[in-house]
Amino acid sequence: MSPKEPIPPFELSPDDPRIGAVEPPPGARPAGEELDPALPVAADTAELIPAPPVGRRQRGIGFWLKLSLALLVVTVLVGQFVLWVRDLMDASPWLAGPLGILSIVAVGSGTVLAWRGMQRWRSLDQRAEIRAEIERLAGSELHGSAARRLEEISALIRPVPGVPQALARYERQASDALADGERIELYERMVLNELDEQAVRIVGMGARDIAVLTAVTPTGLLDALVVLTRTFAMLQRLAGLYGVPPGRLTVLRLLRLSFRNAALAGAADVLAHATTEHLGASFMSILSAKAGQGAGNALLAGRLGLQAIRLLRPLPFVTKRPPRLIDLRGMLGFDPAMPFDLKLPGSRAGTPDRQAERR
Amino acid sequence: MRFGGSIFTAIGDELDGLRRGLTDLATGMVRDRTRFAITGLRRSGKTVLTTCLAHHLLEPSGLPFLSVVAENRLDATRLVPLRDLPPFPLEEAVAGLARETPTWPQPTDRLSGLAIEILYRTGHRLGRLIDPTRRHFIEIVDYPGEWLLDLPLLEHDFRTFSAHALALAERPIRQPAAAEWQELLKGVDPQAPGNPALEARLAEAYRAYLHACQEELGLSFIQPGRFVDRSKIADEELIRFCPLPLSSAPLPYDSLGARFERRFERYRDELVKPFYRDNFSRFDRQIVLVDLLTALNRGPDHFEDVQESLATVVRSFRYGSGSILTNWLTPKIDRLVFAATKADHIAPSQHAAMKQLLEIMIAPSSRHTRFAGAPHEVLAVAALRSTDVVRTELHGQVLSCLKGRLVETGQETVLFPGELPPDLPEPHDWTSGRFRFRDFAPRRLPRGRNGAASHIRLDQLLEAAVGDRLT
Repeated sequence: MSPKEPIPPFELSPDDPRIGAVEPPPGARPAGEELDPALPVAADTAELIPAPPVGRRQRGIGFWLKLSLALLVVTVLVGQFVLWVRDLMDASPWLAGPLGILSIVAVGSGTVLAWRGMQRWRSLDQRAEIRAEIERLAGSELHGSAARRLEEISALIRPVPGVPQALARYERQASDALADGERIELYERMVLNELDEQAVRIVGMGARDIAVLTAVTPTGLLDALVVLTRTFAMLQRLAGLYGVPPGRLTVLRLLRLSFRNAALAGAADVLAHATTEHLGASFMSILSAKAGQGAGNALLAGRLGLQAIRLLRPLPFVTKRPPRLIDLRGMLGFDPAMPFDLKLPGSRAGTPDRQAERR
Repeated sequence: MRFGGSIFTAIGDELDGLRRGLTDLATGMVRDRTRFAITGLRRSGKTVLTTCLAHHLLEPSGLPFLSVVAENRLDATRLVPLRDLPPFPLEEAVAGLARETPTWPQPTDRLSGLAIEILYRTGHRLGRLIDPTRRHFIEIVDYPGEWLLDLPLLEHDFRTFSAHALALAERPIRQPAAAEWQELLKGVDPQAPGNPALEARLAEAYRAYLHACQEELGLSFIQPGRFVDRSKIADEELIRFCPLPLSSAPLPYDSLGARFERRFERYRDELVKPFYRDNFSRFDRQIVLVDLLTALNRGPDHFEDVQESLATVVRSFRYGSGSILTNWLTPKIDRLVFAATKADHIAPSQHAAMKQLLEIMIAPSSRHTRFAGAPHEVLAVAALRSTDVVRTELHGQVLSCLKGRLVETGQETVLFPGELPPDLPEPHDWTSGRFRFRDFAPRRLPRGRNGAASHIRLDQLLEAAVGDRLT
């Protein structure tokens, strides 16, 4: 049969061996069970949509320059060390032997750690790849690809507390009749919304801490230190919330974002001091300058936190807009409706299903 | 809309609408009510949809796409009687669907309605400061689909109605069914004095023609609708008329034409107009149900017939978005959803094509509503899912097939109903056996938390139709 010709209607007996299993209805698949990779994907998948521009990044000349310099340094150091051990062996073999063994153990374990770190580093790249794919499928009315991609995301975030329950609720509601776009929308609503709310709260509280602390610290160096440590803590919490493994390299990658903030905080303090010294100032004006500086640092930290949310979130924002600085206003004390908005952990009345259970 | 009849009647109707609007305004009940016009031709699934909508709203666990449920703002729902209509037989319909061997609800033969009161918390930031908990009433009116095609009669007088009906009877598909009535008309002079025996024969022949169109040919454009419906008409004289070939000459008072004209006007003014005024003039949201698969099964003439019927029906409603005050005084439908029903009778992978085809089919209707300023959405839905999807390997291809109990045999089967064309079918598509959609018996209506599996996009339908009123 030519693939272009439509397949005519046909009827089979329910016990015909050519019939496969019923596609799992909502709630049928246990939360931890993965999709069978051997399951053939229906011919009507999303092949009509152009493939996303993702994949391995093209390495620039700068990358190769850095890599060759790093290898050069490592080779020189290792060579020097080997020569030093050899010289030591000639002079004092009983000292050089254990030293050599210890060195081999250190190099071996260091390599393993570096490899693991690299793996975790790549988890952010993996997320970016999945995000791009999901972005392509958002709004699609075809069937086939989204379920598998969402399973991958579920595997990434399942260790996060509360997520397994949200995933179980999603599985119960995700009908097999849903198109890819609808499935993604439902996943975002049922699984990621709660995480997003918590993430915004973490960013808001981190920004508030930075505002208060930098307003009371006396020196620019302390300001920079406060911003660095609090931002670091905030980013670590965000990474944990979205299920990014808290490896040191991953956090370092996030921390790279926060160094700029710290530098700006220090610079702002130096500038404020220079201005007050140059122009002369009363106690009150110094206080208000410090408060303004605190607010500025808070906004910068908030902005950074929101950027981190976009980087860490395994799904792009499909049905709702990404959180903005204005969403933090309640936690920074600018929103009259906040007392009604504030949802403390455990105070939430529950998801629809939990509510239904109560009913 | 413009009514036939005198200008005084039209003014009287407008005043009546104004009075109703003012009453609603005074009682403060307009802003918290949404009156749904569930519009569909005969057998399009209005009663099943009403039953399932009410059932899921009263047990709102399977509606993840309805924002008020998804955002956990829904506190409670309950069924309340509708002020001015007999109650919709919800319990009977639900009981029938929840039986061991479920049965579809009986086709509607009378007017009925229900209202669901929803208690919810507003999602608006400032609204929460003023009035955090609110109530909303969703009102649904059920009626025989045949009555729907009577609404366009309000814009006709006897002459225009006759001209249109005679032209319709000339169409090749209708011609054989109309032959007997047309034969009878040949010897009739509308100017001649009335003759009760002849009048009865003509009316009966016309009714037989309409009945054949509906039952044997499966056509939808049946006017006047009460000639073929199952409900009782108190005064049989109201349906003792038929279209006549009229000239422009005036009709003498006692002539056959004049007698038919007076009966037509009575039919229009005593049956159709109150139905429209009491129920249809107060809708503010509309769900138009289209049984696309049956139309495709029956062929191009039926497809066009459904298309024309829908376009005619849609023109009978008031659309557009006005100010708060004008909407209070003369409600208009400001949002509508076109829904292709029986989405469970094809594989989910075909739903996109189903939507696309529906868009094409409703183009004449949606053009009218869009110009009036009412946006619309198109969905493929199933109020109650009757099938599972199974994967079948055939000729090296993996196909999504349907597993369910066929109505005609009562046996469980697995079938591939063919592929929906994403565009209007080509002439050879109608005859090549490309598709054959079969009717499945209903599955048991589930109780409890796994409701999402029992329907297809019922929650999206609700969200599109009323979601913005529950924010």
